Amino acid sequence: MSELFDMPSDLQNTYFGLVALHLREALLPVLAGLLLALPVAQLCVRVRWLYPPVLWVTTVLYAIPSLAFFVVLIDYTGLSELTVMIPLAVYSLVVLVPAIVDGVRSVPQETLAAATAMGFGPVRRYLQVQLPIAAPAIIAGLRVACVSSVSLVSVGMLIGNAGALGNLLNSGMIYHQPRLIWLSVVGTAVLAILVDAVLIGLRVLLTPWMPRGGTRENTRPLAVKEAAR
Amino acid sequence: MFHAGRAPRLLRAGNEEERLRPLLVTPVEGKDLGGVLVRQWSDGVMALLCARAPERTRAVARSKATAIGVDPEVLWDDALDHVRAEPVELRTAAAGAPGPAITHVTGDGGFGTGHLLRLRELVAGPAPHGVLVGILTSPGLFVFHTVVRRLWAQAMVETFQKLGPDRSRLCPQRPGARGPKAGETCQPRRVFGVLIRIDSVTKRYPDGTVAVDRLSLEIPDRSITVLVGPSGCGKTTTLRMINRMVEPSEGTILIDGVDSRQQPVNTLRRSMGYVIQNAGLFQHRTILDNIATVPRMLGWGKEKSRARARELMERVGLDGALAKRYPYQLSGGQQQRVGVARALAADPPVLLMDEPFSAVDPVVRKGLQDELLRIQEELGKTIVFVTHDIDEAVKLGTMVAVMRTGGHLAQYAPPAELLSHPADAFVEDFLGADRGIRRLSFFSSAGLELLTEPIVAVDATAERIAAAGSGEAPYLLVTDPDGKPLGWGEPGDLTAGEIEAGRLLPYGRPFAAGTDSLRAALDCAVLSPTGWAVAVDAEGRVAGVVSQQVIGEAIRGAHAERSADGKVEQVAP
Amino acid sequence: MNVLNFINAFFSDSAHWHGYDGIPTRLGEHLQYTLTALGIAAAVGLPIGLLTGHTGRGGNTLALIATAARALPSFGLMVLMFILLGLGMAPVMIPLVVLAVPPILVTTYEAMRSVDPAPVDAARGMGMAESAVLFRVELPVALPLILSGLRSAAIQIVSTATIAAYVSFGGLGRYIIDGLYQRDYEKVVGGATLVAAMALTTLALFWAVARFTVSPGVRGRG
Repeated sequence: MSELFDMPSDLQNTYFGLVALHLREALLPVLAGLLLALPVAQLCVRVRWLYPPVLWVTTVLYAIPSLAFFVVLIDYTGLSELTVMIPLAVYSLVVLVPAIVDGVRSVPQETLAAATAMGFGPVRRYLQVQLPIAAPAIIAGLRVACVSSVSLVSVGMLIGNAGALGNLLNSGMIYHQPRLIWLSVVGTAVLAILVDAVLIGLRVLLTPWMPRGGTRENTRPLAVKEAAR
Repeated sequence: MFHAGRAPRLLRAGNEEERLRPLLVTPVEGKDLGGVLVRQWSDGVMALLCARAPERTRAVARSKATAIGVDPEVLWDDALDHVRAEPVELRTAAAGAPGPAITHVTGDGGFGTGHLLRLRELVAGPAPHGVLVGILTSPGLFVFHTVVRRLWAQAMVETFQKLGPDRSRLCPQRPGARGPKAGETCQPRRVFGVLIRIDSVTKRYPDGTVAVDRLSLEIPDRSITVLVGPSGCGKTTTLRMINRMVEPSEGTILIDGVDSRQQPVNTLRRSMGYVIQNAGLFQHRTILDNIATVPRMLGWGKEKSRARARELMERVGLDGALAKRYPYQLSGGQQQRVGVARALAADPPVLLMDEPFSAVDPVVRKGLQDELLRIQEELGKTIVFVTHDIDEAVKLGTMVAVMRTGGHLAQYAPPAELLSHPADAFVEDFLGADRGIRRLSFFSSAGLELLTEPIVAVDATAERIAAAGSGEAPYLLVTDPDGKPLGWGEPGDLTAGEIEAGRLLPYGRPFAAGTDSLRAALDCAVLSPTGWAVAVDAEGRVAGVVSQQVIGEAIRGAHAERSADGKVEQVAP
Repeated sequence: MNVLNFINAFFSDSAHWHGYDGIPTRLGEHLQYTLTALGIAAAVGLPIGLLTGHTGRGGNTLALIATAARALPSFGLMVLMFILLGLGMAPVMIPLVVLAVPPILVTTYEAMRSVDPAPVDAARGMGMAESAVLFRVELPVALPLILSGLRSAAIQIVSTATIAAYVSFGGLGRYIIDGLYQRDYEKVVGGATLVAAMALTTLALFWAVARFTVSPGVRGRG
């Protein structure tokens, strides 16, 4: 059983070490993307005409294949982890901005009016009323971003072995060990599903006000966005 | 003997016989010329017309329908065993003036046909100008009759074949009508509404809820029947069972005598118009294409469907410029009109309307209700209308069915009777307050005695004012030189030549003399600070004035008349 | 900037325009992969999506499929297929199709579900056959979303097909992979540009298709 998880020595890592590396490489960019997306989204909500052009830009950026993105950065950041993480951050940004904007916009007008009437200032309103209600939509966006990230990190293998579990693919090819390839694929998939599950749990924790399972109306727009990615 | 009215003018004078020859022949012994004449016919209409005839004569009925459908100038009706009122009905159903001249062929010496003619006169009055009714009889020898018949039939077929592709002569021009182009078929004739019978119908859902419970109702033809009640009373379910959007668990629904389950469901639905709340317009099609949906489904050509759609837009009061717009560009009221137009497009005999006016604001709603009444007067459909608004029900319905939660029928009566005799506490409650006053709208003000003495023109002389003021009326109505009302004034205060309109008491809203109801008259009297109502004619000129007392007496008089009809009248509190 | 120099050099080198490694050939291969995969995925995903969306059943199953499919690593899957099946069209097509079907399926389903039920009810009431209701009433309104699903699937295919070059396949990714191994950054950047251009062209194409097929009545509503 233990041979199952034996790693070739040139990887300088155990299997679970690679898993941890993979997680780090996948989730840090998402976090960065989230932090960038929040202000951008808020701007788009405030300045309505900004949203369509921003949406255009994000659609275009998302269309650019990951590999192309990675290689263009090689010139600037070399063959390192950063080359992989920057595009991933951009992709996360691209997924999260529409998710946040739609989520914030879905807050009913009456709720906002009530909040203003009670004396909430704009910032407080954003943080305490709009964001919490938009949380399900944001978490849905986070799910998409994280899962795509986890999947894309493997491609980093082509950029100087910066692919964590993706590196196993290369090893598998070179050493003719299908086992390694299976480990990589299954590992990545399981990781993605676990991250997804954790985020769903997070949503359930953060939104006790939502009916369990979500109503049709609540989950449908999210599902569409999710699936459309 | 055979009478010839105006000779079918469309036939070129060939030989002598041709001049007299009718244009159309119904099938004789199976030779069905239907296919030759009319390529398109509404399935629903066909089904209805054929449904009238018993099984054995259905082919004959179908061909008759076909024959009338092309709007011939002369109709040769050969049905030896079929001498009954049916042809007359069909002919009247095909109404329009002048209609086809009918040649009845009978072997019974004309007795049956004579009876038919008398019946026809009873039903539709004496034959108007241009109608030919001919009786070809061959007294006595049956054989001879058969021979003659066959000869005529043969001649017909030959005439047809001679006419060839130039079928434009099949559909004669009537003043104002546009004939079809050569080879094109005619519009199906306008069809009046049919009777719907709901027979002990129940709708039970799998989870146990009973939406409709043994409902039995007879919906009369050519009228508006309103199903009204609180939410959950099964009115929408009942409506949707008529066109089988919902299938009844028990019971049958007979549409013009035919069980609705006997036909393929789509044929049934295409023969009924269906209007829902929020119109349900196809947002991806233009208004014109929306309206033309059912005709296109029935196989009409694109041009013909669109022409019909334009016709309907006009009929429902939509500006023709909207034809190429999309639904999102129209207001709610306009969208609803499009919905109604779409339902009327294929000229169905039945119109099902499910709370169609609920989603628009009250002003628009009133306009739409008035339009519906006007359209119904023109078209005479059978309309089944569902609403939760009792006022709408009373305004629109010829018959009103009040339903109770749980799908039971509480009362089914004309609105006047509903208001005067609610069947139980539930109906009374549902009718709401001031039922008595609302009931007054069913009494006409035609019998009111209007006084004309207390009316003076603004430029009247002092004597005139004195003369008017000497009557019993405490106030005088001042009108402008045209006769339109300006206001009330006290006789003592009015001096000739110095009557100022601004200082007069307001006269409130006037009511139309003779046509408005007692309720309108009473309302006017109450509105005016003097307690007198002003009646005006069609141009707005004062026809007379009447006091509340007189109106009150008229109301009592109307009640008395009603009880004189034999109904025990309970004085409405 | 280096990048621009690279691009310039790459495209002006005439050798790059000919032969089995020429731009036209590689472009053709990439197009072939993309169109085939998209075709198969659409042929599978569209009918199922339309049907389940029209009847409304199977929504939960589809949500599960969507999540599962997103979790699969495209790259890893491709390598796996290569190891198991060797060279040929199948190892390329299988991952591409498997990855493209879920977006099409789920988006089509959601698009059909989001159609306003009132016109559908009116259409049935008018006596339209079920198939006519699906194709003439629901589909035109759901079209924008369906097209967006097809579009994301197409983009995803273009992207993953690029990576297929790693396992010895052709396509535009060949430039990138070879360039990386040969340390020929001119090639790498040139390849990247081509791939990006292809993705953007796909975007533009879908935008144009939407422009022409979506009725103004649906577009105008927003």
